Amino acid sequence: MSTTLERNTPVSPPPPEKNEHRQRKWYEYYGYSTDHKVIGIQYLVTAFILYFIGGALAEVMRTELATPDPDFIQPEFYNQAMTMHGSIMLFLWIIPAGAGFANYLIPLMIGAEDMAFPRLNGVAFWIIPPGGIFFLSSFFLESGTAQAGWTSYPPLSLISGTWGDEIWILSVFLF
Amino acid sequence: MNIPGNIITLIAGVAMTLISLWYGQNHGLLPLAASKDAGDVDELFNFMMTIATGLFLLVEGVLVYSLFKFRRKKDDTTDGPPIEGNVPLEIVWTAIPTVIVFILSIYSFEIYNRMGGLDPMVAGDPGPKLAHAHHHGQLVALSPIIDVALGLGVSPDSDQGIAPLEIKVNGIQYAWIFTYPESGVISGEIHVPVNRPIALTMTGGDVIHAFWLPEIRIKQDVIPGRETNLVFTPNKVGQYPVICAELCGAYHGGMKTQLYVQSEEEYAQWIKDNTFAMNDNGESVAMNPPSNPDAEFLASYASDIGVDADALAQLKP
Ligand SMILES: [Cu+2]
Repeated sequence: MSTTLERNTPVSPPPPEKNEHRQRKWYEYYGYSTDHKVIGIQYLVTAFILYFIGGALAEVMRTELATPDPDFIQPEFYNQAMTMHGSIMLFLWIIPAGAGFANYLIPLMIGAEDMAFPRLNGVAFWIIPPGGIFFLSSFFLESGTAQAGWTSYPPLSLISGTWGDEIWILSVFLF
Repeated sequence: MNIPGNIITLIAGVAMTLISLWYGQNHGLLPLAASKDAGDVDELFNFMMTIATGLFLLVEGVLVYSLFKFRRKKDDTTDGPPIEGNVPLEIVWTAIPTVIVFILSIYSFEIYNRMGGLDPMVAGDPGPKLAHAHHHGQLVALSPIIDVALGLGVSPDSDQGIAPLEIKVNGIQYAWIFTYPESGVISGEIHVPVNRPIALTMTGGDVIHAFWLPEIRIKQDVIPGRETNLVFTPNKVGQYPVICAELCGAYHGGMKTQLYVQSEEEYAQWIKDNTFAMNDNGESVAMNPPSNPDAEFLASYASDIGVDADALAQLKP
């Protein structure tokens, strides 16, 4: 008898599921999140899109190089494509993709609940998309985007594509 | 027939060593070697290639062997034996790269010294010099009061008796200008006599360029506002490319000229021709022998400079 009673004793309701371990709605991947897995996927998808843009610029260069004559793009634009290809592949593909894998996998591998500063982690990701758009918008400048190579050595970076290189250095600070 | 495993390992090891040694000397990746420095650089490159080939064969060999040897058996769905590290193996594969890196760093430093990279004279430092530290063929101790050299100086092995031929190099968008202080010749091509040390003093007129001679195996940044040096001794007569190796603007790809390594007599003749041409005009425009009308001279460059035959014909003789 007593056992039945014990069984029927109302237990405290299960604690509300932790934010981190809930099934995600599709739109949550498009907004600010503190879940390391969501942030990891956000990083990887964003980086992959930018990877394709960087790859397209490489294709532009390769098409130009198919013949010795400058018949597809102008020399100035070739250097712009080269600079942006290099910068995108470094700052907007390898680094964010690494951050994506690190965010997604490391907490799982070490058995942690989440990253150490989840909100800062979320903010850090959300610098990438506007930064990337800002970076790429320099293509629409009249003087063109940065064209001094991804190392951007002065004095070349000071005398060629001035505004483009200005945006380039601001973006690199941002990333 | 059942051959013991350690015999097979031994044969594989010997084969791997022989293949590496052969490939290290016969990879065919390098252009013609036209200077003593080139021999030094190639010696180091071939040594690294030998090690790299051996490591490649070892690592890929173990990988491919394991792919077949430890393939999952049909209908085997287990996880396989739980293997938890192997301390001796880890010590071995940490120690081997460490030793290789040490050997390579010491050896490459020695090659750099042999090429003249540690020559205190190229530092251009007005302060006290370390006169005693410069022994033939030995490592030089760098004193902190001496600037680190920008470029290559005179090789400690070289014959100090021959005075180097000095040439000033100016890199501008998008050309190389060579000035010969001895004779006053200014040229867009560099002509040098064979088997004599050539000392280049280089600077940039606008942005950073890099002076690259693939057949001499030397390359040095050319920096506006600073001087950099290169000393080399060409030992094969021929015509070799000079290439700008630092992105310097839209036409960086076209910033090329030629290095002509000539016999003493040919070089002397070239200097004489160009000195004469300059005295005639009273200004420093080189080349273009006076017997050649401009049109005839320019004809071969017409497509490069974008002029057609009609425009050339209108040139005044
Ligand atoms: Cu250049």
